This record gives sequence, C-alpha cells and structure tokens, in this order.
Amino acid sequence: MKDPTKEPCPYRIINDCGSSFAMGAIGGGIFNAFKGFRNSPRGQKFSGMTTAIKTKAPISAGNFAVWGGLFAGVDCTLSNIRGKEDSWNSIWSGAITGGLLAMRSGPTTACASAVMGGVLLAVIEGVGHAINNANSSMYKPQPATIPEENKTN
Amino acid sequence: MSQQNEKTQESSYVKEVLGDLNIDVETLEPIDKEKSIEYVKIDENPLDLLKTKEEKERELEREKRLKVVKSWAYLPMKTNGEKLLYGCGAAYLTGICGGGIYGFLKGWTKPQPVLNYKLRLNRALNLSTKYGPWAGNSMGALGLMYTSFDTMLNKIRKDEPNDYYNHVGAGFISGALYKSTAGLKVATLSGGIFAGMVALCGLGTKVIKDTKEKIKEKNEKY
Repeated sequence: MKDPTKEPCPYRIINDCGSSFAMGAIGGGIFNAFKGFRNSPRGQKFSGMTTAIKTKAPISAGNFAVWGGLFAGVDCTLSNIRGKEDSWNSIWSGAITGGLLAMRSGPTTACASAVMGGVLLAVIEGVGHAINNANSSMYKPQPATIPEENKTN
Repeated sequence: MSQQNEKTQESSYVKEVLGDLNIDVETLEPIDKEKSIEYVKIDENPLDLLKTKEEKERELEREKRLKVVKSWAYLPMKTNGEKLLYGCGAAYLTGICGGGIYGFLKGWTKPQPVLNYKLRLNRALNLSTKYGPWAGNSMGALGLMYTSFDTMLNKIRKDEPNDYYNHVGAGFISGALYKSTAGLKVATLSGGIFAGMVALCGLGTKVIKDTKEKIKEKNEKY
C-alpha cells in the first residue's frame, strides 16, 4: 500500500534531500548570524556576521541534507523490500541512518546513535499518529438516533 | 412525525436540490482535445534501464490511450515550492557525487613511494570525503539561491510568466551573491559566468528541440 501524502519513491530521495538542505541552510544561516554578530568585536560586527554565515551555514546544511537523503533512501529500500509503507519503515530507517553516519567512530557510539535515531523517529511518528487520530475523531460517523415511536419490540 | 420525515426525504430529488439551474447537454462545451489536459508523467522507475519489456509496453499503451503530453521535466515539479526542493536536492546530490568521485580518483591515481593497497584506499577515501561535501555544499547553496530568486522574479514579473529571462536574471543574482564577499569585480564576474551558463543551457535545449522537430518533419515527408 502506498502513502498518498508522500512523494512517489525514487523522487522522494531528491525531494527530502532538498527540503532538509533548505531547512539546514536557512536555519543554520539565522543561528550563525546571531552567533557571529554577538561574538565578534565592536566595529567588525557586520563582517563577522557575514563570515560566520559563509563558513558555517553550508556545513550545517550539508549535515542536514546527508541525514535527510540517507533517511529517504533507506526508507525507500525498506518499503520496496517489505512491500508496504508504515511507521515501522521510518523508525527502522532512522535507526539505520543514525548507525551509518556514526560508523567511523566505533561500534558502541554507532549503536548508541542508532538507538537515538530510532527513538527520535518513533517519537515523531507517535506524535503524528496522535495528532492524526485526534483530528479524525472529529469526523467519526455518529450512530443515528432512532425516535422512540419507531422502535420495534 | 417519522412518516412525514420519510415523505420529505422521498420527494427531495436532484432536480429540486438544483432548483433553477438549467443543465442541457447541448449547452455544455466539450473539452478541446488539443489543448485540454496535460498529464504529468510520474514514473515508478525513472531510469529506462531498470524497466522490463512488459512495463515498457504497458506504458506505451497507456500513453496512447490517455494521449499523454510528453513535455515534462525529468522530475515531477508542478509548483514553485516543489521546484525549489527538487532543484536544491538534485544540485546537492550531483555535487556530492561528482566531488566524491573526483576526490576518489585523485587519491587513487596519485603516484606513491610505497605501493600499498591500504594506504591507497585510505588516501582515496580521505580525498573523497574532503571534496564531496565541499562541492555538494556549494552546489546546493547555489541551487537554493537560484530557485528562490527564480520564483521571486516569476512573482515580480507577472506579465511574462515562465520567461527565460527570469532564469538568466536569477542566475546572475545568485552568482553575484555567492561571491559577494570577494569584492564587486569578482561578484559581477561570477554572476556573469553563472548567467551565461544558464543561457547556454536554454539555447542548447532549444536547438535540440528544433532539430528533433525538423527530423520528425523529414521522416513524415518520406
């Protein structure tokens, strides 16, 4: 079964990569602008801000994009293997990406970051499901009230 | 009470709901066949190499049945937001792949005093992780700026939507902003280079389209 709210699968990798890159670039740019403005000495505030944005915003954007792209790729492969799309896919893919990205720093840290990624994605998916349930319970079909005269027995 | 309710429900036909709306079949205009609907084609497998023969045949049948217009981009970009995300992602992915391959080959083919497989692989991996993120980050930032300025220009120049001058202008602005800290001269130079690249790309696609149409006309004549 396919999830109609998401993009179709091979394109989703590019879309997720782009959206996470944009998120990282804009968020990292604003964060580093504040940081560079505060930490640079008086008289060089503006130049310090621009250099901080120029050097640090692309790095955070790249980190975000790697996370998003790997996550979408693992999600797509998992959904292709299992033949269905549900929350377990994204939880497992979060754990796998977390493990893959911390692979070079040893097995214990890789396992820890994998667990962290899985828990993070599980929390996100759980909150999403809770919101979805709360929204959809408003439109639940109500049983029709039968007038008392019409009741048999 | 209940019987009355049932009666009212029975008498409420579609005609009464619609009221005075006159719907004649003759007054409804049929959809123009040539300019009616453009189906946006989204493939499960974007690469032709991965498809089996049956899938290709099925697709051809479907295209004949629905009269699919094949003037689509390679990615399903319909709105401006999707264009931003897809453009950014595609730029980042091409940058990181190209930079990684370039770094790997550079490290692999570098002459060494001691021929050691492990050292060679380590150097290649180090260089690929050095060049890949650099190229990916700069390409992604350029793509983000280009697509956002393109949509901005598209919103500002409402009279001529989807004009190619928009793309060239967006290329100039993003190229100039990318090198804006290096001085005015360098900024204008890089903006000009980027705008020229965009214009060349447009010219190339136009030339390819024209030649394809000419070849089609020739084939139809004979």
